[in-house]
Amino acid sequence: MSSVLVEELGPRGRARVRAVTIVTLVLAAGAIAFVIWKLQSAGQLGWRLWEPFTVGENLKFLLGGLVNTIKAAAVAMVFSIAVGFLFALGRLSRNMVVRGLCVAYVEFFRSIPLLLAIFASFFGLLAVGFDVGPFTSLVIALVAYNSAVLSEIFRAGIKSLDKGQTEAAQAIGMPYWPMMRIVILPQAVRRMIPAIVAQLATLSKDVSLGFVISYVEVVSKGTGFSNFSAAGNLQSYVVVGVIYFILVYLLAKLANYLDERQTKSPVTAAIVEGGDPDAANIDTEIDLA
Amino acid sequence: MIEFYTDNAQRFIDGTLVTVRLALLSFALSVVIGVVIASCRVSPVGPLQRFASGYVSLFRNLPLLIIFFLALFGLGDLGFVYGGFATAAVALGMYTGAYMAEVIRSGINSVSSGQAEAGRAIGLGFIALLSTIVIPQAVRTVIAPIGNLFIANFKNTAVALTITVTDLTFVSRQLINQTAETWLSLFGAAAIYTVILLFVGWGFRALEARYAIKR
Amino acid sequence: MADALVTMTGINKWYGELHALKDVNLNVHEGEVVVVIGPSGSGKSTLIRTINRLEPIQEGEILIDGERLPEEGKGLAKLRAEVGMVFQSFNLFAHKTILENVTLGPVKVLKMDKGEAEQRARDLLERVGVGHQADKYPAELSGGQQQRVAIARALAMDPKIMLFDEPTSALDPEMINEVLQVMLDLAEGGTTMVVVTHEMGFARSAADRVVFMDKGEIVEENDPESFYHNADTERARDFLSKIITH
Repeated sequence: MSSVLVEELGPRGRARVRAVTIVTLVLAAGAIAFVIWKLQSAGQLGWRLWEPFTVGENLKFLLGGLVNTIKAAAVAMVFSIAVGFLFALGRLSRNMVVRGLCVAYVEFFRSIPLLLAIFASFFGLLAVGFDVGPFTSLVIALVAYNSAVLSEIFRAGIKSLDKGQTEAAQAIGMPYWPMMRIVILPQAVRRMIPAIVAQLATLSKDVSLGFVISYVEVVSKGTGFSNFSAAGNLQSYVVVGVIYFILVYLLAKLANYLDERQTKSPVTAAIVEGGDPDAANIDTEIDLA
Repeated sequence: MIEFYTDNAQRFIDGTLVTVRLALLSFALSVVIGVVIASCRVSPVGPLQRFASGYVSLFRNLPLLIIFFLALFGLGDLGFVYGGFATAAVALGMYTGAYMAEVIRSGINSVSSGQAEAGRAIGLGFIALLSTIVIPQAVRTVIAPIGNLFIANFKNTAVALTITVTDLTFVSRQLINQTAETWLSLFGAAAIYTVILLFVGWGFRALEARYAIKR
Repeated sequence: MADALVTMTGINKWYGELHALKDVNLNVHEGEVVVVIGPSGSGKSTLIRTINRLEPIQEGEILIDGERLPEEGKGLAKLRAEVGMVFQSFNLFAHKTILENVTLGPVKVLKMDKGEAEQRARDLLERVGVGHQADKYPAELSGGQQQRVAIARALAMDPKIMLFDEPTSALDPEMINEVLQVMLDLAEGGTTMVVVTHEMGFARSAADRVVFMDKGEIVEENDPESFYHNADTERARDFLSKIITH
């Protein structure tokens, strides 16, 4: 079957694809050889620099950082969901002042760098006499930022439900809050789970920024490791990168899996069917802070 | 309070200029990378497709901080030697480029195959089809996500302070150390980011409204 | 008999395991109107889409005006320009006005002067009855109007033959006739047409020949009156009994 751009190829097209395939493979092999040669001549492939990572004790040291990464991500996520939910409801509120404050909060934290928020919750709190330590500071900043992002996801999820659902609830005489609680929210939550998991993947990447206030997560363990062992900088960050990649990759895969399973399930299909098509595909991937 | 800002105005301005330059440079690079990677991804050539999806997966599943460190300690050994600023621009451009590739790809896929078939049926060749039908329609759907990417990329420039770039967040951090005015230092930077990104957001929304397809 | 405008010989096509077209042979002569009918999944749409290679075939030969249908590249594009196609779902270019939809092919492909292309486009739009809509966008038109524009777009290329792939199936009932009327006018004017449709009225008043397909094969070719009253094959009679009772 042809795609939008490329239709099924004829014999000349197939020959051309074969030629490009071969050229690509040759160039790729050349590029890999070049990288290996350069690293080799810079001495980066010396076993001495990699050997420390084969020692169980050392790996335990690095994985200890991973535990801290996951801990900060998990705690921040739980609070982000709670706070984000409040702000989503606030933005759907019929009180203009409440709505305005919530919009301001969301817009503000979506437009400053997370790093600045981390400095604020660390040095800022310190300046007014609260020495909460790097873990709490990092979590506060992550919650401030991620609750803003999540509240947008929640709001879109709630708004995307069929208007018919609201009307049906109103038709049987349900007041606003019971309607939200019994009819709207359970359906909305169900739909937002993949987006929440995707945001957790992003959030766990952001935990690495705790590095700047000396939160001992996996990247700072890597830095420490390169300073105090025979391993080099590059080697340490490659290993830390692999660890991190696995964590984020698994979370992203889980989000995808949930998303696919959900679009297949009859319940969501019914919800999506009746929903607002624009809000139905809440893009979970674009936000990359 | 006013004095704090007048005294340090030059430093805030310098930091802002570094941030803006880094943001624009890395964003331009990300567009180039995004176009190349997206082209590979939609091409009929197997190894190019796999290279492109590997690139996207790698850069989207690593924290930016690690990409910065790998660039800092790795690029020099490959014979590409830069200072902190250029390393940051390259690393950030590669990072945002992975997201850009996905945005472009989904933009192309948003064009229905019926539109392409109709173009082929009147005898448009590949290039004409691409330039008169597919790209004009795709552009309209990618403006908003590209706007989001621009904003995210702009904020991500702050991470460059970890490799000695003296951007706006760095200035704020430095002022915290050098003056006792922690909150004033923070607010100054936050205000500048917010104002710039507010205008950027408006700009992209205006573009989007202008190029919307009547449906 | 003169050489046929379209000659299809020994056409076979598979989608993976599915044998979508089985040894199909079909000739269409200049000025002839051929209606293709058959149950869904019978391969009738696939068949007409192979004529301009929107569906590639694995076996067989297609000649258009004596020329072998090229498989790719400029040659294929040139041949497609000579074959007009009207789709079930109109497929007007969503980002172009009605006028631009009709001038795009002549200007980009035939390299016609823009002013001339516009004049011709306006005439064609007038002819299909949507002249006053020229500056609107497709989404602002009704389905019937869009389909008439799609016909004008195809005609603007001055094609040797027009292909219609279920042109009225996506239309609301009250809009079907306005499209069929345009097609009847074309048929009367001597345009060579291959039409996939279930519209019996159109087939009986305009078709020179009805081709009945089932399960990827051409089961019967007949003139419309005999076909609808007294089909030769059991499968055709069976199919007709199903669509006519409704």
